[in-house]
Amino acid sequence: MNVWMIAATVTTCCLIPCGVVCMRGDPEVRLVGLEGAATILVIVFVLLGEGVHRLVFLDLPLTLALLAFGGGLVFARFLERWM
Amino acid sequence: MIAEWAVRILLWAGVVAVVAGSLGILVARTVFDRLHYAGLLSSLGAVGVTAAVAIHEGWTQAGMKCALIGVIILFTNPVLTHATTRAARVRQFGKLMPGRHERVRFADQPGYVGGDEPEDQ
Amino acid sequence: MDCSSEKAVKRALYELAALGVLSVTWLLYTGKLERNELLAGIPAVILAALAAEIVRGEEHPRFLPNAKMWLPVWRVPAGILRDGLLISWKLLAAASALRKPAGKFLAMRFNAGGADSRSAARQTLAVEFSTMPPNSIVVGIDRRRNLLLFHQLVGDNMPRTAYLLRGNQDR
Repeated sequence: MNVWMIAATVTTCCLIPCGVVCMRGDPEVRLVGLEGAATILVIVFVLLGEGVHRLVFLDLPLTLALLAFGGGLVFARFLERWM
Repeated sequence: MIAEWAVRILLWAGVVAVVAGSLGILVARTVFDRLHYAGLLSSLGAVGVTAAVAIHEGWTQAGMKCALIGVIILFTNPVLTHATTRAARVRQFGKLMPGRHERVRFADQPGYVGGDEPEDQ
Repeated sequence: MDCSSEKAVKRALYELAALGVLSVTWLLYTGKLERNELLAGIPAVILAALAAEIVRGEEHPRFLPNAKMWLPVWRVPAGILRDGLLISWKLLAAASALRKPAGKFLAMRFNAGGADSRSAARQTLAVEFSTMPPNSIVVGIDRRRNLLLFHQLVGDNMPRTAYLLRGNQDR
């Protein structure tokens, strides 16, 4: 257990509030929970990659950061125009 | 030595920002308030953590990838926040800008916008 | 050189620039010059450069900031730190008083300009760099009434970057 894994554990626990928000409320509120969870996941993957010293794992948060942006934009436009 | 301290400070500042951001998303009153805390997650949380890893790794491919992740999140999250705010405002108020049924105070001068103004064409 | 061949030369230059930037990005990402990496990378770079040029070629407002528009950007990192502390403190204060944090919508005068590339760049930079610090979120810019609508969690101040990019207020 090193400092990166401790930080990853603490950050993973922060997914719980985002998950609660994703399950309650209006669609736009849930979207905020989803976007927050995606950002937290990127941070968790970076910390896990550093914690286990497998830096090839950094490709995953890089891809997730880009796709979460695209996905969030699609949801936001959809909510604005069609729902 | 300085780099080690910088890594520690950035890492734990980032983690504290993530904790504050996630709690803020849970307890905030409206969707607009929650979006501020989602912004805290990315602007301080993600950037702090990725900067810590990038400094720790130095001028290696891993360090550059972490820096790239931080830059991507820093620049894309405001766009996402802006789009989500627009969507939430259109859904809740029916239109983006203040109209007849909403008065918004000016921050740079006395007075309000909206309220008695005619509706948009 | 007539107009259409000038356009063709311009497009070719943009395409070459896009190919160059994307190739460098690929090399930074993979860090290798092996055959398998190049076999995957070269078609990806060509496809991406073509797609970028197709999108750029559409009739939509271009983004063309001048150097002066980038000047307010140096304030953003300090703004992010200050606003992060501010809204975290607000969260603590609200939690101890058993009250939820509450923000408000505010407006400020903002000269939206026309449909040209400079005005589009000024608006884009104002939205992007005013939304980056977490205390304020730019909702939109009303071109008809020349105002910028934003949501702020703590305080009543204008986003500093939007204020500096607000343009000539004599309109």
